[in-house]
Amino acid sequence: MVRLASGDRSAFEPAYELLWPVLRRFAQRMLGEDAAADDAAQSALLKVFTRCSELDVERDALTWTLGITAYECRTLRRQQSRRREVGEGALRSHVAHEPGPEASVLGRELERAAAEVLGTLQPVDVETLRAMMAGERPAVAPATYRKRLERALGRLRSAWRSRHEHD
Amino acid sequence: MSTTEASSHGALRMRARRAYELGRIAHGAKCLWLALPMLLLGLAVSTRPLLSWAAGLGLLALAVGLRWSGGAVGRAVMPALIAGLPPLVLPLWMRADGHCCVGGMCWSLCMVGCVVGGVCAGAMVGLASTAEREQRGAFLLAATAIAGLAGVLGCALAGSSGMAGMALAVLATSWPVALLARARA
Repeated sequence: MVRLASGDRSAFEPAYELLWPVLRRFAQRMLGEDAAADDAAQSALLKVFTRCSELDVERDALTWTLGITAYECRTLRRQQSRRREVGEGALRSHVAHEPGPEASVLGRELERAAAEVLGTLQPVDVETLRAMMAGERPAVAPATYRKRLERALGRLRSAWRSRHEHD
Repeated sequence: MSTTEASSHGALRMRARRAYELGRIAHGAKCLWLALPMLLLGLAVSTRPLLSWAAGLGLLALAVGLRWSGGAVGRAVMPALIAGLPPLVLPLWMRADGHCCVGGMCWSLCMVGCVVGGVCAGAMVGLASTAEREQRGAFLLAATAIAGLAGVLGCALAGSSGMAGMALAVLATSWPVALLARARA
């Protein structure tokens, strides 16, 4: 890391090979969950390499690296708990307001419109969206899954807009 | 490792490499807080704008590039920029003060400022090089070039003789001071 901090590019490969498993294990121990740990370790790794030139060579590089990873893990955990709170709040308000007959009709209309829009999407997008709704995790790398999901949601949004924008 | 995992691992490695290079560019650009005002000062008082622009842009490119590349030449940039301040500022400060005559010969004070500034810069560069354990030659070469370019920004006022005097003074001082300091250490 000290060599890398002073600009020695030949130290990149050994540093990467050494750091990635350490950061991943550390994140797994902090977060438990595999996918979240992968996300946190990845963003920590990128931050470590971006800020590598700022490394104080008098200080322990591993401590510095793990400090960045711990920060990333805490940030991710905070985001997750915030998302959970929002989700629970929405569920509670949904239970408190039981839908009336009008709302049920509207809901059915909405479901039918959504099914129509879904029918215009590519099968891979429909599969990705279905997996997201069911809370399933397809057997692909987390980054690939994230990208697919982003793409599918984008296409769904534009298909919905093109059909119902003027309604 | 599955094919998907291997490809995502490769992608992560590439992103990490890109992040590292971006970090290095940001590190290189940090010297601009000193190099840019030096360029602006040189341009503000310049009587030869073309030469000042060339020297100034060369100084910026060299400083950022060397810091980006790293190693001994990267470490030379900040001390060299600081060492380049005397030959930049002294001629500007002395330019309005007429002539200096020693032993029947007279020079404009501007010219004297260039040579004295060059000597100061050379001494500072030579002393800074003693902290370098490896590649001291590369450090001295890079530092001399940067301090010299900074000096050209100030000494353009004194004409080609002023610039030549400053350059000679930097060269003639930096290497001997470095050798002496090394011998004493």
